[in-house]
Order: sequence, then C-alpha cells, then structure tokens
Amino acid sequence: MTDRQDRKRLTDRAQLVRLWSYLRPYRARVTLALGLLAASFAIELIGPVLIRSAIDGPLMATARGGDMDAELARLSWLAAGYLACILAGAALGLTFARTAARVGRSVVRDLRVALWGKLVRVDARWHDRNPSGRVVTRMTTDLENLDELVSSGGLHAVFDLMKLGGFVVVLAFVQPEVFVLGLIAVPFAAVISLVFRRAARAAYGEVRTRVADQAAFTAEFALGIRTVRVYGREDLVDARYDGLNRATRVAWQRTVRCFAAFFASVDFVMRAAQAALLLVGGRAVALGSSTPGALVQAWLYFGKLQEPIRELGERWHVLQSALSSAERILAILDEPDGPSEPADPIAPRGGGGVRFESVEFAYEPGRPVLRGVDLSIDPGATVAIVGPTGAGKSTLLALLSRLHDPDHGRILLDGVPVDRLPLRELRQRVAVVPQEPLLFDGSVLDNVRLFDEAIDAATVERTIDAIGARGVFDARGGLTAQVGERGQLLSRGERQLVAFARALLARPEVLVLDEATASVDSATEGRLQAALAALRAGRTCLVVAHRLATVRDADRIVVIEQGRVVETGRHADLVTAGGVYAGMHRAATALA
Amino acid sequence: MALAPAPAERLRPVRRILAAFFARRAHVAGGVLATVAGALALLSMPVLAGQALDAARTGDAALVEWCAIAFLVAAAVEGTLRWTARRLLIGESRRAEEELKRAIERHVVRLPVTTIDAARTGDLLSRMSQDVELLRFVTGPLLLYGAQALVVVPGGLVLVFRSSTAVAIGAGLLFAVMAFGLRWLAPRIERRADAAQAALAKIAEHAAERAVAIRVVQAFHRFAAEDRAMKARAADLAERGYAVAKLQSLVDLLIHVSVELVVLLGLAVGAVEVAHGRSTPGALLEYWALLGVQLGPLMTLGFVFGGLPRAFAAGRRVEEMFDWPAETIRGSVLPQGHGRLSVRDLSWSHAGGSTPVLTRVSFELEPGTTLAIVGAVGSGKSTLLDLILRLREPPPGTIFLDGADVLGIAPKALRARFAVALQDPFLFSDSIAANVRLGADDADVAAASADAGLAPDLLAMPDGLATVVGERGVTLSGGQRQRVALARALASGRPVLVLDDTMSAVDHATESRILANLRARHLADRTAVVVTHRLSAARDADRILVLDGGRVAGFGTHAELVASCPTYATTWRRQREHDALESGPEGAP
Repeated sequence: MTDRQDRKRLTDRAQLVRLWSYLRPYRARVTLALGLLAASFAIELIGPVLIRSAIDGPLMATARGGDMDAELARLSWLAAGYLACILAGAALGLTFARTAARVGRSVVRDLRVALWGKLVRVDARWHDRNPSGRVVTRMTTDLENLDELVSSGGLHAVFDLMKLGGFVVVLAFVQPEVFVLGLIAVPFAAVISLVFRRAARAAYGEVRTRVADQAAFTAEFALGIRTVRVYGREDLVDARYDGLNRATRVAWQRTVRCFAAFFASVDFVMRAAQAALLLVGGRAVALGSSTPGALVQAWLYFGKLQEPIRELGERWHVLQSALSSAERILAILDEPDGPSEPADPIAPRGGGGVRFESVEFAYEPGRPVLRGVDLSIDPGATVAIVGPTGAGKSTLLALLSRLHDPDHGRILLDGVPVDRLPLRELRQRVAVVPQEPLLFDGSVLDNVRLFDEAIDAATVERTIDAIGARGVFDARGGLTAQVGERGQLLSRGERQLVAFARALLARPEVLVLDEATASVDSATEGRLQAALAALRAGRTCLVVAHRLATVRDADRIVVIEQGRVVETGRHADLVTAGGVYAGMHRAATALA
Repeated sequence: MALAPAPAERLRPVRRILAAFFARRAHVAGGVLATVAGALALLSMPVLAGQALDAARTGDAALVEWCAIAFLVAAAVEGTLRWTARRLLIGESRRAEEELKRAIERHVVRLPVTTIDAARTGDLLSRMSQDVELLRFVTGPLLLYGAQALVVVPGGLVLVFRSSTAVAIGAGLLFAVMAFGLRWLAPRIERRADAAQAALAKIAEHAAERAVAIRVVQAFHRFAAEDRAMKARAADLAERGYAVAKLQSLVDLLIHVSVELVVLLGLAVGAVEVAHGRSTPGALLEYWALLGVQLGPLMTLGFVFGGLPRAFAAGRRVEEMFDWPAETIRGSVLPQGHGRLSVRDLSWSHAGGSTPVLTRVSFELEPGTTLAIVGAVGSGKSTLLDLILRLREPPPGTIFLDGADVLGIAPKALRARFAVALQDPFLFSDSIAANVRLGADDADVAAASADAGLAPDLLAMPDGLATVVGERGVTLSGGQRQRVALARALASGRPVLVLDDTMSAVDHATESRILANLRARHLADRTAVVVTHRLSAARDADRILVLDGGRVAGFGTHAELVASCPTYATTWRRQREHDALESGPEGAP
C-alpha cells in the first residue's frame, strides 16, 4: 500500500484544530509568546520615530542657530530612549524565542510519546504494510518538522505578515506620499518570494532525486564490487557514475540559477522602491511638504521590510511541510489499535487448556488463511503442528496470544474466551518463541526481561539457570554483556537461548513455539535441545514442528492444510492410517 | 613541541578541489571581478541616498531626481553583477565538485574488495557525497562571500570616516565584537546540535528495531516499558533541542543588539557632529543606509568562520580515501589448461585476527569435474572462494590454477578464467540482456537465460530481455537477480564455473529445473565449483568438500559422506525432514 493511500485526507483546518489540542496544555505560554511578539513589534516601530524627532527637532533647530546646550540635552534624551528600546526589544526577543522553543519542544515531546504509544499498540498488520523506514521517518523527520512549525516557522510567519501589513499602514501616517510605494513594492516582492520558493522547491526536489540516485548507485557498486571485479568491468561503473554525477551537477546548477535570479530580483524590487522613496520623499522635502526626519524614518521602515520579505517564502514552505507531516502523524494516531482490553474482564482460571472453536481469519478480506479450525488441547499436552508453508500454522499461534482476533469463532483458555481475559494476564500466561530470535540493542539482561526494570537480575539469572544456560554468557561478560543492534554480537544459538529465557521468565502456562530450523554447531544444538526440554516440562505446548523428533514425541500431531485441520492423532496412529502425515513421514525418513 | 606542518601539507585537504576549480580560470576571474564591482556599486547606493537627503534639505529638487535615478541605475548594475558572480562562482564550484567525485569514483572502484568491505557503505557514501559537498565551500562560496565582505565591510567604514572618525571607529569595534561573538557561539551551537542529533538518532534506532519486532513487543505486552522508554528518550531530545534553541536565541540577540547599537551610535555621536555643523543629516542617512548593505556580508562572515573548519575536516576524510592503496596489478603468467585447481595446506586469518578462518585446507579439483563446497554460515566457504579468485591475498604456494601459483598471475587475467555467479549479485540499471552480456559481448544471451530458468520470468516482463532493471525499470526479486547472475556466468564462456550459493533465493522447483539444465549442457566437461548450504543441490557433484569451522570435515561423494561424515549426515537428515514436513508429500523429491 502506498504512503498516499494510507493517509486519510484531513483539511488543513481540521488538522490545526487537532494540533491545538496538543498545544492546549501550554496555552498560557503560547499567549505569552504572542503578547511578546506584539510588544516587540511596537518597540521596533518606536526607534525610527525617535530618529525622526532627533533630525526634525534638535538637528534642524541647531542648524537654524537654536540653543546648542538645550538641543544637545534633548538629543541625549532621545538617544537614551533609543537605548531603552534596544534593551527592551532584546529582552522581549530573547524571552519570546525561548518561550516559543520551550513550547515547541514540549508539544513535540508529548506528540512523540503519543505517536510511539500508538505505533506499539497498533494492529500488527499495520506494520506489515509499512516498512520500518517509514516508522522511523514519522518518529523523527515528521515530528521535527512540526517543531519547526511551533517554535519558529508558525509564530514567525504570523509575525512577518503582521510586520509587513503594519509597516505599510504606519507609512501612511509618516509619509503619505510614499505609502503607495509600500503598497506596490511589498506585494510585488512577496509574490517574487513565493514564486521563487516554488521554483526552488522544484529545483531542490530534482537535486534530491539526483543525489539519491547517485548515492544509490554508489552503494550498489560498493556492495557489488565483487561482481564488478570478477568480470573486470570497472569501465561500466565509471561510465554510469559519470552520467549520474553529471545529472547531479546539472540539477545543482539549476538551483544556483534559481537563487541568483531570486536574490537579484527581490533585492532590486526593494531598491527600486527605495529609489522611488528618494525621488518622491526627497521632492516632498525639497518642496517643503515633508521633513528630512520623515524621509529618514520612512527609509528605516523600508529597511526593516527586507528581511521578512526574503523569509516569507521560506516560512511558507516550513508551514506547508509541517502541515503535511502533521497529516501523516495524525493519520497514524487514527489507526485502530490491535486487540483491545475486554470491557468486563474475567479472571483467568489457570491450568493451560486451550480450545479453538471454528476459528476463521484473514489478513486481507477475501483471502482467508484459517477456514474454520477446531482444536482442543489438554493442560500440559504437547501438540505438534505440521503442514506446508502458508497453511496457516503461525497465524493460528498468533491468534492465541491475541496479536489478532479471529474473524469468526473463538479461542478459549481454560474455558474462558481469550478476549475476555485482561491482555496483560493473557500474555503472561501464553509465551511466544518465534522462529527467528529477535533481540534489541542492550544487554542480555535487558533482552531477557525486555527492559522491564521491575524484574531483578537475580530472577533473570535463575531463569537462565532453569534452561541450563548457566555460564553461557560468562565469556562475554555475563548478563550485562551487550548484544549489539538486533543481537548481532551474539551467535545464533546464544540469541535463541535469550529468546527461550525471555519466554520462561513470566512462568507461562502455555508455550507457543515456532521451531528453529537452521543448523548450528553440534555443541550449541545439544544445549538448545536441553533448554527446550526444560521449557516444555509441565506446560501446554503448541509447536510448529520442523523436525521429526519433535513430531514423534508430541502427545498429538495436527496436520494443517489450506487453513483447515486435515488430520490429527498420535504419531503411530497417523503413520498407520496412511494419510497425509504418513506421506510426509515417508518422505522425511527416506534417506538418499 | 610539535612542528607546525608546512603550508603545502596544511593545504593538502583542499588542494585537489581547488585545482579542479581553478582549471577554468576565466570563469573564476570573471566571477571575482563581478563580485568586487558589484560590491562597489552596492557601496555607492548609501552615498547617493545621503546626497539626495542633503539636496532635498537645501530645496534642490533637480539634484534629488538625479540622485534617485543614479540610485536606481546602481541597483540595476549591482543586481546584474551579483547575479553574474553567483552563477559563475557557485556554478563553477559545482563543476569542481563533479570533477572531484569523478576522481574519487575512479579510485574507489579499483580498490581491493577487502578495503571496500572494511569501509562501511554508509561511511563510503558520506565521504563521496556529503564530504565533497562540504569541501566545495573552499571554492566558489568562499570567494563569493569572502570577496564581497572584504570590499563592503572595510569600504563602508572608510566612507563613514569621511564624516566622523569617532562613529567609524565605534561601528568598526561593534562589528568586531559581533563577529567574534558569532565565532564564539558557532562551535558551541554545533556541539549542542550534534548532541541533539545523537538523541534523535537514538530514537530512530529504537523505533527501527522495535518496528521489525513489533510482534514480540505485543506478544509480551511490553507497552508500559515502551511508553517509559520513549518518554525518557523524547524528554532527553526535547531538553537537548531546547539547549540548541537557547544558544540560537543568543545569536539572534547578539546580531539584533549590535546592529541597533550601531544605529544608536549614529543618533548619539553622529547627530552631535551634525548639531555642531561638522556633518550633515545626509551623512547620517548614508551611515544608516551603509549599515543596511553591510549587514548581509557581515553575517556571511560568520558563515565563513563555520564553513572553513568543516571543509578542511571533510577534505581530510576525502584525502584519506586517496591514501588507500589500489589493488595490485602485477603478475603476468597466464596458465594454459582446462582448469585444474589445487589447494594445498591453505591456512588463512584476517589481518590482525587471532582465530584462523581457514585451517590447513587441501583438495584437488580435476579439470571437467564439479566440486560442491558445503558448510554452515561462518565455516569459511566464501573466504575460500575469495582466495581462489584473489579477491583476498592467499599465502604463497597454497592455491594453484593449472599448476601455476595464483599469486604469480595478474589478477585480471586470473579472474578472466572464472565464470562467477554470486549470492548477492550486482546488476547494472541496464537491460537484462546487457547484464547477461557483462562477461562476453558476443554471448548467446537467450540460451543462457533459458538455462538459468529465466524464460518464464522474461515472458512476464514488458520487454523481455530488453527490460531495464532497477531505477525506473522493473525491480527484480532476489531469486530473479540470482538467475540473471547465473545466466551471466553461463554466457561468459569462461572455463571454470563458480556458483556461490547462487540459488539461495530460488524456489525448490525452479532450482531442480536449473540443476537439470546445468547438468545437461554446462557441467559435462567443465570445471565447476558450487558453494551451497542446500545439500540437495550438492548431492550430484563429483566431489563434495565439507567445511566446519574453517577445517575440512569431509571430502568425497554424497554417498561416501552420508556414510562417513557425521556433520554432513546430520545436516542432510535435518534438511530432508524440514522439507518433508513443510512441503507435504507431493513436494518431496
């Protein structure tokens, strides 16, 4: 399923409303930040007014021969006022920046925790449809984009628009003659800025594609260097690399042209407006309808417009990209959870008897995997499940610990429907050992107790002893030995032992085991078999069996084909019966 | 005391890219000229604004008009020059980047495979892209920003000197304080940003690892622990992110306050000079307008301070790659013969490694026969192949092809004797036919593809053999890629066939068909080495070599090994059981 299809369309407004719910806890700070912005804008307007007063007041007065000392005193008061504005503006700006950053970081932190809570609880099938790379992007890039929106982009975009409008209006009062200049120049420059942003986005999009292509090829030939070398075709790599390299350079040069044109044109528009200001404003002063101070004040206001106009396109882009990130994040938050807690739970009874009653299940509608499985397992019994790949063996096991709920039928644990048991209770009683032992970066201890610090090291140690693995990890530094990313620092056999210990830790009543097949060295093999025997002792066991020994020792064998139980019974009976299982057994025992 | 490195050595990290950049001298010189001229035009504008104000004050409307027109012309000239400069200098910097990348690729693709294996792909990629990109800074960007700042900042101060020495000195000092403040803050922000990035990377790793094992998290009901873990990580990131924002706000503050103080200097000191008649209001406007044009170049100076050390660090990483020695090409003897392969008492361990990968391995392979090499992951199968193909260097006197020590043969000539298909084959983003033809331009592509079991797949593809692989073409499955690689080996016509677990991703039925094809048309009188973990593919070989922990655990035919080699017999039985229990009676061989 594509990224796009997976997202639900939300209008921008609906998204902003939902984002607001995450901002609500910080509304006092948000209000403070907006207040600070308004105040700093007001202060920014005052500076040029003081300068105008200085020019039109003391400077004109002294030029006309006024009282030098009095005028200089007035001048120093104005300068002191300006200094006060600087200090106040600095304090306001600093407080605003920090408040906004604090709010942005807090909101994103809350959202990240909420999103992760959803990602671990979401129906496991969602993860089948979405590669882990996408999960990582949502948890990192998309959330960081949102931070941009809250702590810089969003509030500043509001501020910049406020500033642009504000300065133009103020100009109307200061120098009505040049008011119309602002009215023309500002929208003109703003349009250039937005158009440029669109062109720049297209150009950068092209750059990203080209750079990614080149990187992909680089990675490809690095990984495929053996093929290149054994066939001696370095010349082909050279030729293709040159083509991709050139395409990357051409794409970059397009962004260079784009930027060169943007800076040149937006600056020229603002400077043309300044030239017009000099012409119109200067003539007004020469003709006596305006003052030099007013001209300088208008000039300074014009100068303050340049930064927001240049940034406008950028801020708009931040806003767009943050909204599309928000859309993706909110879509995940709307995904349904996996099987939920029962409304009126029943306490588990204990024992370990399992019953499947007419269980049907499909991962996708219309493509059933289980088509009515009936199966009853006595407490303490070991049941081996065999059947072709894709028969539904692993799915059957997944339903027992409620990774999914069946579409029809029900599953009972000691007579209680599993969807009436508190999830935590159910999953403590049913322990799963997957075929591939999945480990996480951390210590052996972390992996056995799955990062649950409430379980102490001594308990973990006892569990490892119980599966006969005492001392296995000593050479690596014991329980605190690091296993590396995905457990790669351990051998496969060691990883399997960790997975066994993990399953045994909760003292489950039912063990669900997908037997491992890969051959390991014979020493580890013996240890694993001993561990398995310890694991199975006194427990109900459902084993997807890959070995004859397991099947032969089982209390019962269940043969599944195309989502149905086709045979069930003891090994000897099934072999005599001469059905499907007997055929499998013949094939398995017929050596060369 | 350490001696300071000679200038030539200090410049070594940037020499290569500078040479590529200055190769087109005319463009660079034109760019620098345009930058300087544009900066002078920029400086003229504040002067004109000041003149206009003074003319207006004295009622000279005509002079005001002339000043405004001159201002407009200066703006147009400046815009055109800066546009030209940017296109020339930055455009050329991209060309230099392309050149350098090209040189790196030429070098890297000819490195020994072990060097490339040892360099993690991610590291190689970042050196070949991000590092070159960072290094580019010392070319066009440095010239553009540097030259502009060097004209505009001192030039502006000189202009201010005309009307007031005190103001010029004061403004210069404030600029210096600002520049040094920025320079002080930049590395500190970078350090904190790195820490925040590391916290983010931790979250990414955590999420990636959990996402692929989500069923473990759910089956063990580890929701509370996951919530706690993410809360801690998210809070850590939030704190580190805020720490960056705090410093960033100081940068904004520093710039804002410095600029405003420079403005105030005009009001507090400059205005007094005007009051005393030593200067004019026009000079004040000129001063404030100069501040407007100086600010941009001043800010880019901070950028230059940050960019240079990064560029040099990147340049050192790039140069390191050029220091990796390329593969040896010496050796000349070309063996005559049909591919008799002898391995004699071969032991081998990784450089610096203490545990040997191979211990005293010996065997003989007669011309025209098939050898299967079997063993668990890590038993040394792939290393043995690498040594035979001289992708790794074997000790002298251990591996012989047709009687000649492989060390005496030029690697390229040696490898030309082998038709190799690898487990993770490399396909060019080209047509399937072109990929099959990699080893021989005149190969019978259709026949080889058919023998490699590709015929049904080709029928389903839009353009058959002309279908383009990857990129914007069709994406092949792992099994299909392996079969294309097999077809390539079959088509190459080279005497010794080497298949390294070539069918690990191919389904059983197809594998049997391919094996039948191979036996019928390719293996009859050809020397072949087949590495596999599936014993069903090995059983028909003339000889099977069983490797266990780098030692020979057995050597013989299938029947001999089932009878005499416990490692082989156990594995054989287990694979039979698994296949039978998984595929049901109809799938059993």
